[in-house]
Amino acid sequence: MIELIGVEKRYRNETVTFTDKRLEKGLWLLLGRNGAGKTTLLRIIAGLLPYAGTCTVRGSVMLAEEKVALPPLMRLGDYLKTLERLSGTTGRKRHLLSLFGLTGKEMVLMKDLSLGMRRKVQLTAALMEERAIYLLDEPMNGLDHASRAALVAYLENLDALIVLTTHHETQFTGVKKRLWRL
Amino acid sequence: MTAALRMHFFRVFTIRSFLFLGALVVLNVLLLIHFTQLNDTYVNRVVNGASYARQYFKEGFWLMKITFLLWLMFLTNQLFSDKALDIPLLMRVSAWKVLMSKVLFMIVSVFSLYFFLQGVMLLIFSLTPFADAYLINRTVMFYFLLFISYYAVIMIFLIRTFAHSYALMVLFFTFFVSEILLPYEITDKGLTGGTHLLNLIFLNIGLYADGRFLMTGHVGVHLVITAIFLWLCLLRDEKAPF
Repeated sequence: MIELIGVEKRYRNETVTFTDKRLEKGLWLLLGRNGAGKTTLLRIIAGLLPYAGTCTVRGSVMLAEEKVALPPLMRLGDYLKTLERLSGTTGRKRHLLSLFGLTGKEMVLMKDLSLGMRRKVQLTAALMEERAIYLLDEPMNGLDHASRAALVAYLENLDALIVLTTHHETQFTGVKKRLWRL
Repeated sequence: MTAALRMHFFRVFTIRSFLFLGALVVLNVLLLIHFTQLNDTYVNRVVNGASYARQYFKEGFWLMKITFLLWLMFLTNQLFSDKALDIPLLMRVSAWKVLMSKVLFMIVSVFSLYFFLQGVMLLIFSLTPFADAYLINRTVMFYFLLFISYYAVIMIFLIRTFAHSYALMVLFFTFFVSEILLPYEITDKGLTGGTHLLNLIFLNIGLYADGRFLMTGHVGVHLVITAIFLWLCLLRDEKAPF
């Protein structure tokens, strides 16, 4: 569960105010124009940014940002294994690797992967662990049509609260979702 | 912790880092060879051995200080400037642990470089005609370790506060000012009030008139300053890692 009451983020020249909201389990599409504060809001919920107001988060959170940043000289398999060791859990890695067509690419260096492939690695890293809340910032960027469809189907069946930012609401046609406009 | 260190290792060591580190090491070796007064005659190098040895260590330690500051700047920039690389870590372990693992990684990598360069320095010294085991300064190691830790923590503080790698240049510049103000051979009389004050904040290691390499400033004060800056960084990161 996520509850926002009077949350605002103050910058030097402006203040972004977010409307009060309570989110329960399910898929939420966070929509808004450029600069509306979607990424900022996800960072606030993830506990990465200071803010004013009350943001209550019940359950463990996982954030995948829009920017894909991976260590260039690390192998794909090694990267995911190291992350698993960090949290001490073994999750749904194999399933996600196969879902995104990454099976057999464990020995490839990150620097040799295309943007779309690196996005898939980032999403695998975020979704492979069981969390109550997933915050995905523009996860469709860089993905091909088939991968987008596979990701949407996967998220639809995930038993968690998912907040996903997007500018393309139509990609979720026919999917049970709720909209949250900023 | 080892998994976090592994992530930091792959974050720092890219092809560019290997080239930079390689260039630093090669430059150090070439300059250390130059500091042995190779262009002078063998007889002169034996006759003036004591002063040449002192000169060699003075210039060698100066070179090491510059090398460490450059390497620390590079490490701090690599480890702290791209926050997007921190997110997978911050979503799995606390911000406190992420910061401490970065500090540990910095200290381990700089200390490793220190022991390597110190070894090279002593090896080159042992090949000179004025090599004398009694001239090797053993206590300077402790001061170097404090020097590295002190600047590492201040650099982390600067980059976390100003969120820009150019902030590190300020420290490099101020270190140079304190270096310029340092007399050739330090005597207590030779240090002015201004130099004392500058060295109290910007730690330096210098050659004293009696031939010892000592830290200017005060060990206790610098340990306290290091601890305060580290605590401030931890406090900031616990509140908001971004």
